[in-house]
Amino acid sequence: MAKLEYYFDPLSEPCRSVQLFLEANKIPYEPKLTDLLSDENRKEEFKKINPLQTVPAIVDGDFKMFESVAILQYLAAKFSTPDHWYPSEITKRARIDEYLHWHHMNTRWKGGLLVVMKYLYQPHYYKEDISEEDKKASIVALKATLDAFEKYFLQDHPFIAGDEISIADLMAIEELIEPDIIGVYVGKGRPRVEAWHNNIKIALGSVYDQVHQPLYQHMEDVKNLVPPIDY
Amino acid sequence: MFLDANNIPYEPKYLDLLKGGHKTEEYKKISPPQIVPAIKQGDFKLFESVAILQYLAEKYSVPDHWYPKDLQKRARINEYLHWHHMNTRWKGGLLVMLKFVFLPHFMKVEVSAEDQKAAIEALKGTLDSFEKNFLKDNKFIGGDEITIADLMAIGELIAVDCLGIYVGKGRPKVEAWHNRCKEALGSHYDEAHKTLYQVGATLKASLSAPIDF
Repeated sequence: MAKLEYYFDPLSEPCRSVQLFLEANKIPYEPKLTDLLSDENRKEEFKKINPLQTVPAIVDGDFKMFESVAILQYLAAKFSTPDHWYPSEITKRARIDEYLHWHHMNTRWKGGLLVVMKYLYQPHYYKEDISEEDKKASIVALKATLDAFEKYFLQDHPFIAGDEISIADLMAIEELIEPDIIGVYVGKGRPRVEAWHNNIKIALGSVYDQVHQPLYQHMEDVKNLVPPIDY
Repeated sequence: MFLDANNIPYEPKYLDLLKGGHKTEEYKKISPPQIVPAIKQGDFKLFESVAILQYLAEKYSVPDHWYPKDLQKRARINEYLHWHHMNTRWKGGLLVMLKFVFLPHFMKVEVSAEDQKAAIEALKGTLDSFEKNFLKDNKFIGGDEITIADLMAIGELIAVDCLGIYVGKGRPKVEAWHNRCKEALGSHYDEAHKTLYQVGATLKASLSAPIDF
């Protein structure tokens, strides 16, 4: 059986989510680094893998697919991973699907990435003028998302779905720790979020740091670019 | 449309969003984020339309084509369903409805002509991608038969009909797909869109000029 090909950029949050799953479940794969900053996803070669030119993407024999959550759902079924990742019981699975669909327009769109975009990527990489107002608004949006995340999803559970880690946690954690890049920690003043983050680190063991290595390096590289943020 | 097409018995609980029907304490207990749709079955409550469709497909053992058990077929549908939120919904139907209807008419927030034009351009970009990457030369998004992916897409893309914007204009593949969905859903299609048709007449009359699409 040909090894799974995994196309990813380690600085992309949904790519890390899928990589955590692959590593935690020891699913053999051939890593295909696709650097977004140098537009590797715009090359003709990658277009054949994913015409939408987004990462992550996988190639499993003849089968190609994109969209991180859909990939996680596929991998969980294909490799018969432990049930807690994406339970077969329909009400437990529904709870996770509920989060996974809310995720896109909330945790992803009004979460960690927005803040890092406004404070770092847009001004420093894309040379765009971002007003202080816009920057502050991104922090307000992140806080509102965190309030909703805690209230509707995390509540008092160790993980989103309850007692065990699932693909919902993998998607959420990567978006929410993204602002670490600019020194904003979402667990600050939120003991439930901090505890949830620690639960994930414990559940994933050495896989967590291993997958985050490039992110840690990136954080080192940019640490002097953004002054401390009032959070 | 899914409930009706599959003859799943349900008690309709109508909520008028414009009158704040979702802001009641009673509804908070059903859907804490106070969004629609939501379902309640015994003690079990669920929000998020796609999650609801996935749950119902499984719970009521509906015909396989709606959400196939085959791994690759299901993956294709999941691929669309997750792309949907930030594209068909956020840079498609919802965006246009926001800029042309909800903000100016219901929330009395001024929207510039520029902003409105940008919404139309975003819809066009989304339709291009939808045709190229999802619909392709298939009869439906997932292949030969209708699935929950088509139901979600139809919902967003046809909403703008009420403003006189027909997404099938100049797009024969989209038009053909739309017609196939209508055929597959029969009377359930019109039933679900009844209110939209009624509201549409008033909305179109309120536009200062037909929308350039």
